[in-house]
Amino acid sequence: MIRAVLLRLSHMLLVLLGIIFLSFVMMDFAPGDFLSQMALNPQISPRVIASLKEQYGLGLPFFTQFVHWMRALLHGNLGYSFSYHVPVSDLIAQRVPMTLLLTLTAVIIAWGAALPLAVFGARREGGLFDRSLLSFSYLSISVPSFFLALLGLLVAEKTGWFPIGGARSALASGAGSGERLLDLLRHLVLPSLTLALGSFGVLYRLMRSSVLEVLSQPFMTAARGLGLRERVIFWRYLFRNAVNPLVTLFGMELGGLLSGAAFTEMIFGWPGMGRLMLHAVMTRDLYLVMGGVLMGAVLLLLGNLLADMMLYLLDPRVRERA
Amino acid sequence: MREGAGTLLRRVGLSGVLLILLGVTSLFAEFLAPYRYDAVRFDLPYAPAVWPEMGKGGLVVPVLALRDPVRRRYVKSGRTVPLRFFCRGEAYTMWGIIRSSRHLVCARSPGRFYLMGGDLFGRDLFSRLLYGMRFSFLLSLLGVAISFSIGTVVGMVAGYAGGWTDRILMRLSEIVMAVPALYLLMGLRSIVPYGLSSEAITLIITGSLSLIGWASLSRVVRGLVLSLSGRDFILSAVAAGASPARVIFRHLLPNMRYYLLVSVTLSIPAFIVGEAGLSFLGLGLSEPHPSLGNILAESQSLETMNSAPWLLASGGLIVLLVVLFNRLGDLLREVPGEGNGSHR
Repeated sequence: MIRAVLLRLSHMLLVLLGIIFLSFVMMDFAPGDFLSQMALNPQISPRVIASLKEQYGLGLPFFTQFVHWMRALLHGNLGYSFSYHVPVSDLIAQRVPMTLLLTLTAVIIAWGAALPLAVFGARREGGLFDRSLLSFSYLSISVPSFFLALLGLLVAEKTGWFPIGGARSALASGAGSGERLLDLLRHLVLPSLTLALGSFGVLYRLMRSSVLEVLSQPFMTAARGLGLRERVIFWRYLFRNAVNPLVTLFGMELGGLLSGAAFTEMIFGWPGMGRLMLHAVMTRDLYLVMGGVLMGAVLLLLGNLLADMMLYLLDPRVRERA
Repeated sequence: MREGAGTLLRRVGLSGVLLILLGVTSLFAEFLAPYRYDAVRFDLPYAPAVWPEMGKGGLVVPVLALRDPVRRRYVKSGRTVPLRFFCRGEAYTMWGIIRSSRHLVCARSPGRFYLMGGDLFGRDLFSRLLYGMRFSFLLSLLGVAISFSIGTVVGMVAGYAGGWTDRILMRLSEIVMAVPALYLLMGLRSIVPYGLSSEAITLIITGSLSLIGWASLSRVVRGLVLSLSGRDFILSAVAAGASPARVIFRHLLPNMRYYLLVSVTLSIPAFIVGEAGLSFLGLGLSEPHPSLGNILAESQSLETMNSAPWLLASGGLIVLLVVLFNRLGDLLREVPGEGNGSHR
């Protein structure tokens, strides 16, 4: 186990180094640097610009700059956001919890709904229930997230059941913490539901076909023939085998927690990473963009690692091979 | 002839036929659209759909009058203009070569034929959707062509050469896949200066999408090459002294072509949605050029959704295209005897 994890980790580090290099090259390709925007400001003297240029090492050759950048990264320094005037790492740290709240809720809803429904649907394969959920899945896969979010907004507007956009309403200053929490939850409903609807389709289809495959295996017939109790058959034989292929998908979902909700956040005005990224791109806040790209990539890699480890723990066959 | 059409229908199904129809329709957008995509009518903001009626002397289009400029309520003014077919309207140059001003239908000003309503500037939504759909088709075909060439070459080389070449190429594809696609697109977009021409923007979007798309494909191709390499007919070709080029072009590629066709079809939706998403955020094609994404972006605000819900139709069109391409891909995969061999 430990050897396998270490191998994966070294592997990941290599990929991560590649990503850092890639993002650095991208920044280097960008026309000008953040000082060229400052230079347009008549209130900042050329002397200040020159000293800043030296301070940030912008005049240095490419590889020296890269080494500087790497050294800063190792200290957790992602650079300085020149549209918010705070360090990039602070900004990201502020936004990440809100995004995680949204995406984790969505993941719980989607998995909580899709897995039981898929088991149920697969047991009556081809039935009305199964067929209608299957076509629903098709739709769920095909509707782009930004369109789904727009439709969600329309629902909120027409019914008036949910607040439209944002994460908090302007509460009276005397509102207690319980009231605040309730308010946040009310704002959470629609964005998390639209996100969950978007990922339901893939989950349902995958789990359904996986259950179907397990149901056709000889060991299921054997278990039935032995007269095992239905509950034992279900949990120990059916579910445990069927959920295996989904573990990898779970890792991917974990990896997408930070970046997967970008469109939904932008449309619902949810103050998370996605909106931060959009703002950063719009204002050409280069270090912020690259910081976001890096964070997203790190989480994706971690998710994959976690999935591998879970598969290792759950599936004895994988353990044998490793 | 009839048999040929029947075989086509059986092979590509209803979704394939519909896609061909939509594609051909959008190719002739200049002729089929009643108006140019940027033909404005500032006096008719968010005009609703007006359909032709039977009047004396044939079909007529009612002339709209803006009754309430604040809430944008329209009434039929009682006047009409005749609807004419194969008539002379705004001049255009189709595909950059054919100069003409013939349109399928036109209605003379002050009347205007809104099949699906109009936008804030009174531009005809139907015409804009036609042009936008053509943009989606062309961009995704170009993008798929690029990402496919890169993906196939890289996958082939990696699978065939093995060793360090394989390792380096596959790490490279992992790097591309480890960055969240939308973030990578945004990052690429943020290093490109603003104020470029629409052609340059198109190339940049296509290039960025292809840059992301090749990675997963190259891994698939590599896997196929590895699984085919152990088969007898490849081994005997190599033993008979066939050159690598001959093995690749005469033996490997023909055996993979069906699978490649399926993956091409299934990867097109990513391009359509990717472009629409970027344009939706204002990072892609910009006004007045229509793309399915930036038309949808117009209906972002709740006011617009209420006063002009028909603008959401562009989202519906995106969904339709994606569903059709997905169906077509599934259908091709299920054609008996081909493609559903050992690698699915």
